Amino acid sequence: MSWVTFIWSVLIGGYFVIALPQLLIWIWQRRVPSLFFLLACGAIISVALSELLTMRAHSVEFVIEALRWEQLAFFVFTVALVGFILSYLGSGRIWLGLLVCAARTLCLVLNFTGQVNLHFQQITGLREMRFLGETISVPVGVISPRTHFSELTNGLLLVFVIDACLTIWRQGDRDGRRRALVIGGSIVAGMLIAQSISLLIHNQVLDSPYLSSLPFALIVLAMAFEVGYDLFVAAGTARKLQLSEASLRESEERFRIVADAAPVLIWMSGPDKLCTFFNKAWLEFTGRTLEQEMGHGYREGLHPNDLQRLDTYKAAFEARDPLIMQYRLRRNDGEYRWILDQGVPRYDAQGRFGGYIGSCVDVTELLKKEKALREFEERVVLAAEAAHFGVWEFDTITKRIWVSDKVRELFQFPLDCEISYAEFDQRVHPDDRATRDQALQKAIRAQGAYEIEYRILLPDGNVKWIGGRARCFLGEDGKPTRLLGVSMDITERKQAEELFQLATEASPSGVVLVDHQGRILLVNAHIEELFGFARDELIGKSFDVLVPERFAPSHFNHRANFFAAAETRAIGARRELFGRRKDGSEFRVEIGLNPIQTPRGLLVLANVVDISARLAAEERALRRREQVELLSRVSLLGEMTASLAHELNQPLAAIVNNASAAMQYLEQGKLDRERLQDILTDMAADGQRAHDIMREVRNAIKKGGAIRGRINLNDVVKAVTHLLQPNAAAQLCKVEMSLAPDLPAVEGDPIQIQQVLINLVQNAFDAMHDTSPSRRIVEIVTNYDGGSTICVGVRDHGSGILDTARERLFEHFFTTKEEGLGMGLAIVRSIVEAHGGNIAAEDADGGGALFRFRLPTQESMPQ
Amino acid sequence: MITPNAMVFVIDDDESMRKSLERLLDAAQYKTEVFKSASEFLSRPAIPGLRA
Repeated sequence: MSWVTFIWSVLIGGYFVIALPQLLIWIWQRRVPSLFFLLACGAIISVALSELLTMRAHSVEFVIEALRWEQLAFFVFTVALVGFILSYLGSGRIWLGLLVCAARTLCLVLNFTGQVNLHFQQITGLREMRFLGETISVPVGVISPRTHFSELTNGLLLVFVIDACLTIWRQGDRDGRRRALVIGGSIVAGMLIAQSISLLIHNQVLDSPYLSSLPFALIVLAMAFEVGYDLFVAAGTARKLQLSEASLRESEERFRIVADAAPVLIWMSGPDKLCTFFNKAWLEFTGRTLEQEMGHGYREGLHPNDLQRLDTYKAAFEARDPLIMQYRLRRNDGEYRWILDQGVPRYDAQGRFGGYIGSCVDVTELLKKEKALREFEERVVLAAEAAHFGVWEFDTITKRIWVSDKVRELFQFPLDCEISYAEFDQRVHPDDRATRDQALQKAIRAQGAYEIEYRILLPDGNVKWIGGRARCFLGEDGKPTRLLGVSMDITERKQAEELFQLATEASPSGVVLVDHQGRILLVNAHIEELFGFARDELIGKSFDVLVPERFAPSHFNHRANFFAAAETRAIGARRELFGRRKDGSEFRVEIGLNPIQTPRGLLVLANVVDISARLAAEERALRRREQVELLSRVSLLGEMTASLAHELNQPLAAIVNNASAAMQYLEQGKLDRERLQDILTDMAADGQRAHDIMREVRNAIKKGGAIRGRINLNDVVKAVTHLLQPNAAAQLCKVEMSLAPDLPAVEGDPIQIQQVLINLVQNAFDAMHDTSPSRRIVEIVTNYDGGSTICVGVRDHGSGILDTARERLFEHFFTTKEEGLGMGLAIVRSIVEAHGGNIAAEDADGGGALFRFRLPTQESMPQ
Repeated sequence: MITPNAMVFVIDDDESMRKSLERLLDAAQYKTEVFKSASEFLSRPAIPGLRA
């Protein structure tokens, strides 16, 4: 059995067998490690072939050539190993690998430049020997020192391989460690064995041919195992892949079920833009089959004018961007409906792009609503314009502003140009710009509304007042995106307000404008003076600060009542009202309330008058009147002295007479019981009579204490006539009465009315000093014509009224009498007027003076 | 000296005055006759021996 030929043939054949699949793999997949494996296989086949030929060679020349070319195979083998390590293990220092290749290249150069080859200086002949049962030829010669280069190169190769494998090993990956162990171990072992055999042969320890292909077979087998192992793993992966594809199909199936159940229209496309799937909702919507819709089929349902819109899809597809588009799609009833289509690219688990998936919603109704809303907004604008409101809209993000024609008119912008916000803002009066801007910013921040009044400065130099309201609206993302506002010209109102303010300031009384909550809106300078508050301290405060605290609760009720039934009225006329100054002091006020209906609701304009001065004057007048009255009573007493003396004299004299008589009867012993009783009774009666007279006098002069009651004037006339009888007798005058029957009563103080008549009658007596006694007649007449007054006339037959006296007749302290005080007629008039009547004096027909006074009947008196 | 039982005529419009005078004169033991007024006195039947 020729073992050498057999083994080497088997080796070569085996190498071919394991190289072939890798060759196919390399052709299909171009895997770099496979290429290096193939190179290594080729090299080892060459080496084996060379060894086989060398062993069976017969000529030295042939052996020399074979060994020389064998070095080329070693070179290739080395490069293949380095390449395999780098590409398959993915580790190893590249510079070291390149150094190994360079060293092997140098070996190759030395091989071809030396006498024989790298290892031999010269080959002297061939020696025959028995090896594995066969006679083979072995070259005999001088070993070249260049052979150490080869050993050095192999050493470098080992370092490179060990370094690369250690790197992988250290990474700790189980698969990597296996690779490092198999590849690294086989290379190190193969190389060491080959090198050891060479060294043993060189040192004549071993008698054997050079055997590189056998140990190198270890390396190639290891490499074959590794690349084969990869194939094995790949086969497993492929199996798994098949399984996962099956589950993918399953999940796709599930997806379709879900998609079909979804109420939205769903489509899917592949990486070629063609549609691959439409869900049930879609198909039901279009009324078509999946087959009809697939690919580009769905386009048949699109509105012809909207086909252009698919460009959005194409563009997004190329860029792998999400897309939103809107188009009309024919529904199963033939109607084109507006569809909002949102699509996104889809990727599989490995991140591979697989086309697009999109969902669609029928937005026709929404668009209709939107359109209706737009139309509504347009109508609102029209309505606002009709009401002379300007409407504007401001986009807070783009800062663009849209204004209606009315705004243009108000702000004097040309009708047909775009207006920037800056231009708009420019129109606002510089003094008001900050205020307006703050209101606007606040509205945006708080997402609220504002209401302001500001001035604008127009290009023609005029200033207008603008009233503005605006509200902030939120965008789809919930952020404030636009302000919608109205503006109106309030210049006239502002001017009216100014006018109102001027008028208020000019008012002679204090003016306070109060709203229905009692808050002060406006005061004039008088109020500041009256109450000692500055204007700023009052505006916005409650009216209660002007009212003493003890009145505050009742004031609150009064205010509520007033607003419940608002009418112009004066308060403080019946009740005592007090105002409170800032320093807490109080003063009497009278307040007139005028309700004003305003756009702000019911307001009250209150006129406040400080009446303390007036009250003080009234007080003084009252006191003076009382003094005058007292004086009048005293003077009346003087005028009644004669009468009084006479009146009193009689009962007193009677008492004295009776007392004297009683004493004489007593002396004479004639005072019996019966007589004494008579005398005492008479004395008592006279005493009582004197007392009554004194009481009357006291009453007449008692201060104040006016008693009101029903008075019959005829009775008063009779009483006075009686009272003045002594005066009349003393002055030789006669009193004649002419009294109207059925006289209605008057109301008043009987003593005061009596005083009037006494005055007038006494005057009449006095006026007739120079009249002959036969004509000294005073006529007292009462008259009632059925109306509301009763007239009383006192006529004398004196000299009449002097022209110079007529005008001042009724003034205080005016008198024509030498002994008079001049109080009489003044008091008479004040009493008559206090009773609601009047008095006049005139010359009577046939000479003399006629004084007439009228008093209202009780029925006509105000209750 | 006043002669007792001499006649005194009293004329006064005040009744209590008349009455008290009549009483006083009576106590002084005069005969009296009272009249409300002068005209009443004058219309009295003449008294013999009285000088007007």
